[in-house]
Amino acid sequence: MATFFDCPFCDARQTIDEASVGRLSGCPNCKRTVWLFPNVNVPYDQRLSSNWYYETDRFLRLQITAGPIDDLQLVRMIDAGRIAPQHEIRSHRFTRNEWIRCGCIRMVQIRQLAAQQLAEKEKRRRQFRARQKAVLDPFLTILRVILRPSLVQAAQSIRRDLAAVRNFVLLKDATLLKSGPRPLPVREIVWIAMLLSLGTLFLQWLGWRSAPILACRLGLASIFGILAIHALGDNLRTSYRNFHLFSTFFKSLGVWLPFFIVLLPGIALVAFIDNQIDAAVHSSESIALGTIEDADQELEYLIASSQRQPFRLNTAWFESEMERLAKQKAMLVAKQTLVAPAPWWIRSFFGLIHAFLQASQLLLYTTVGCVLLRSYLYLFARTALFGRAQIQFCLP
Amino acid sequence: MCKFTEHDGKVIVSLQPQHCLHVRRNVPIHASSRIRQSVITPVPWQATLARIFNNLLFMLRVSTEYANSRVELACPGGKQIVTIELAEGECMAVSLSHLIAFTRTRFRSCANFSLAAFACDRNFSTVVYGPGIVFLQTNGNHRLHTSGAVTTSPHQLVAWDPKLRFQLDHVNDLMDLYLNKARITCQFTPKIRPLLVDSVPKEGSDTSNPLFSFIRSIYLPRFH
Repeated sequence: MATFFDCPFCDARQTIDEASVGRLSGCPNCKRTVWLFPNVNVPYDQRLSSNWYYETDRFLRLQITAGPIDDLQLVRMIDAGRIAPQHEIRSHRFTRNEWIRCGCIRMVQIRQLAAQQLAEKEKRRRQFRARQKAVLDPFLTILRVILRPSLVQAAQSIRRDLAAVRNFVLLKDATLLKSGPRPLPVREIVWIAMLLSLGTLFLQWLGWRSAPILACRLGLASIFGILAIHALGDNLRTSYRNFHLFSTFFKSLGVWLPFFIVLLPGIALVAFIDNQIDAAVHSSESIALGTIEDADQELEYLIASSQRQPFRLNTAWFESEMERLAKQKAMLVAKQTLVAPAPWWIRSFFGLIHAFLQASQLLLYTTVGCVLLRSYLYLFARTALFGRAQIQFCLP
Repeated sequence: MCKFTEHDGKVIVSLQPQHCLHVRRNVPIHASSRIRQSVITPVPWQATLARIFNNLLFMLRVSTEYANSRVELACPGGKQIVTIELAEGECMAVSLSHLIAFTRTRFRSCANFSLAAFACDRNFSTVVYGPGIVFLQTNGNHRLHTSGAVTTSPHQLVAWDPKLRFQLDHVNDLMDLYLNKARITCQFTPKIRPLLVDSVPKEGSDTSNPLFSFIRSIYLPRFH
């Protein structure tokens, strides 16, 4: 039965019969000497490799026998000098199991066989990879189609970013990002402000009085977070060379200090305005929200404070207890008869004023903070240029 | 797209009925035929803040009913008009204080919060995207650089490629740090569009008193 042999060096196919299996022949294509054996769609033929045993010097110069090793390993050991020409070796194929000195054997054929084994292994590995690829490719294609553009592109971008970071860390490239100008995140900021405003109004309607201040803080934190991420990206695509962060930082503090002192009257003015806003907030609270809720709170506080009195065996305790009961009675009467809750629209109106004032207070502090930060960053950057720093950047 | 011709610092735009030109309201306009003028807010959601601060939000919309109407944009006092025609997909960063008119371009306000942008007070810039034409007014004697190294003040930049990389000049002493304006140097690389630099900074963008100028730039960000 005819079988096929593919030359492992050039992939040229030839037909071989049973009689020629294991014999030496020349490849008609690449003209190299090859050992013929079926290697198409059959497992690796063990007849291609031969088992070698060798004698070597070990402990106290006593010769010991080692093996079996294959042709490739034998060639490597001979090349490395671990098997010397005076050592004896044997194999079934080449020496008919007789011990022969290594130097007396013609190594050409063994080297050819080893080379063919190596090429054969490489070819099989190649074929295995091709088969693996053929099996995996449809799945990968489906994955690409399904997950594109999210995961595959994300993975690619992460790989690119990691490569960029590696280059940056190894100082191969001082600029981390090569991205172009990025728009001001106004849209994101507007969306956050709108969502927070709606949420605040809803919570205010539900009666949560601290919602506006929480929403303002959340909004400010989100906006500063977005701007900080933006700033990080911008600084990463700017090249800084000979830039010493710590020395620049300490120098810039010295440069900035006079401007902080100049700003002190401004800070005092801000504190005054803040005080006024606080007064207005308190007023709005006492006018609008100080209806039934405040009376409730006051009553509860009075009762709780009077209840905290410890029992004492004297007449003063009875007097104070009577006074507490009288107050409790008076407040209950006031709650039930005199103090009526304001209509919802009045409470909403003053609630809005309250929220506006709280937001103004926060905005005031934010503005002062921004001015301080900007002045410091401006002088920090100018201080960096005081030394040998080189800063390359794009506008915008 | 409109056709235009530049002549002696003036620009003559040939308007068709389907075209319109958005012109800054204080720019004198002369027309050969009857034109319609109305104040509108073109593309109100594009670079809104920057256009508010540079008085470009409300503009004069110039259109005509007649074919080949010639509209002349003139600048008094030796100023000159530079025209930049942008094809589809092209973009240029422009100084909005120099912008006086545009056709149907798109704007995008870009922010740069790097230290370098803080140092030269250029945190906010505007990029114009084509297709369309932008008309920029310079103080005269403007320079168009296409190669070599150019050193200039950031306030003299009129139009430049967003990919152009600038380098900040060194600061020599403490007085220089406080009172001198940052200067930038740019080095041209291949495929970078020309850089248009004005002879002096635009009025209003810089004050003569260095102390006031410094205090202004240290506390107030500017939208360019």
